[in-house]
Amino acid sequence: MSESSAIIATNLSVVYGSRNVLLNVNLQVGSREFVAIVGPSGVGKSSLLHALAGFIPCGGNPTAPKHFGFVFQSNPVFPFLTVEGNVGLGVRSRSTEGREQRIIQNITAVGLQQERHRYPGQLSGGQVQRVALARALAADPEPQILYCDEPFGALDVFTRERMQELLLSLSESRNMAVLFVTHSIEEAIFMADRVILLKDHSLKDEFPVNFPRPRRRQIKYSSEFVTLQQMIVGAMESTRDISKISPHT
Amino acid sequence: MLVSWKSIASVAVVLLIWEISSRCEIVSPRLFPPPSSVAVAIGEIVRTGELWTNTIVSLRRAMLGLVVGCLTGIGIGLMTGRVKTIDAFVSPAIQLLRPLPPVAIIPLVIVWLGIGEVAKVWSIAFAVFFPVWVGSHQGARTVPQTFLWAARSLHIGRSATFIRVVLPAALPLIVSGIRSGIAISFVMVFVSELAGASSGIGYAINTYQLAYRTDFMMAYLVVLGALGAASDQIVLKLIRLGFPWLGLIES
Repeated sequence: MSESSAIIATNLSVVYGSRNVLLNVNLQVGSREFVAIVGPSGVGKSSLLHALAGFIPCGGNPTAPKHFGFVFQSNPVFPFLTVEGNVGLGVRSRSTEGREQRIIQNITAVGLQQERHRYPGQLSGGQVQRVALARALAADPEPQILYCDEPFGALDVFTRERMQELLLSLSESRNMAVLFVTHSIEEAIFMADRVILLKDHSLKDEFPVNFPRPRRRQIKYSSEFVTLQQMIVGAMESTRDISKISPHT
Repeated sequence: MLVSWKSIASVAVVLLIWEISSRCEIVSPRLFPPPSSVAVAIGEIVRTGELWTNTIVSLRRAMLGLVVGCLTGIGIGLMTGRVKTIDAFVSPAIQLLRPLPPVAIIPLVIVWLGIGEVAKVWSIAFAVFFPVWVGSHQGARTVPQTFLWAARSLHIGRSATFIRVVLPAALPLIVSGIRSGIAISFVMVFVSELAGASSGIGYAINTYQLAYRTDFMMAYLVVLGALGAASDQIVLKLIRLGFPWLGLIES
């Protein structure tokens, strides 16, 4: 793996039975790059993350970091552990104080200090995703890449925007890459350095996003943002089921 | 648990109708002694101390059988639920025995082990095993895949994943298996005491049947029902106390 790349995948393929879920995907992600993946349902976006994380077998021998964080959309945290228990599960610090400090530091980073002794069942959807983020980031050794599989898909618009900003600030302050799967083109452009379009089980197109960092919410109303959004929607137009893609949500 | 006035009124009406029917001899008071006579009988067995002796004996048998049945059911259920090879070898044999009404094995257990304590505990444990096994097996099998993947991404190792993720994730179904086990243990302790015992609630009811004392038979039935309900609630409270998150998941 080159020093500047977190992921190098050449001809990555995933097959379920006789069905090709992903076919010959070529992907390279820089070590501090934020890449968003969009595409219709069932195109293999989640499978791509699962394959890179090593959860499912794949062809093509991709090179991906061994130390990674993963934020899931469904069952994102352990309901039987408190916020502190969840965040602390992957912390392997040497001393009790070191461990405690690392847990608190990550709980504070996602703004859940007050909730540290509560169970996920007592938290809102947004708070649960904050726990999932903190758990992924707190793990030892520190993750080199964060895989996010539609983590904000089930959240309301307001919470979703706040979570986007939180993830942006966390990813900018840490030395890691992010591979972010989403249904929302707006979310993808707002957060990523590059948006990748998966279509027909393969990587079809990619769009660099040149907005400066740190990102401000106002860019969503700029003409460049809207133009880029329309370009990506346009690139999807040949897709069989365009109704599953939302340019706005 | 709050009891509404409607449920109290419903029970009171039934008891009142029963009392009047028996007192006015609409039904035979010898076959259906009025609730007041049953209450007197309860007072009597409390006073002589026989209720306490018999209850302790029955409870000890039920609890021992329950513990043995739960431990084996949970242990084997978690293994068959998680390890495919063990599942392939062990589960068909368990499924073959599962449809047997557990009380049907009591005569065979008597031939094997006699009518002593071991035989009774064994019969109860046998019956408790199945619902607890089903709960543990299903619980371990249906652990969300994302839990296991998350554990992998956190590098917490196989045995730690089993103890810290699989076991608690399976707990809601294990608990429902245990609750079915509690109900079955009371059925089994009663039937195994009917089939040969010199103490216990089943033995007492059998003895009073020979003496045609329906009031004392009913007194013991009331106690048996109350014990079953109380045990379920106590175990549930203890589990909720130890695992407060369980209530949050169920709600």
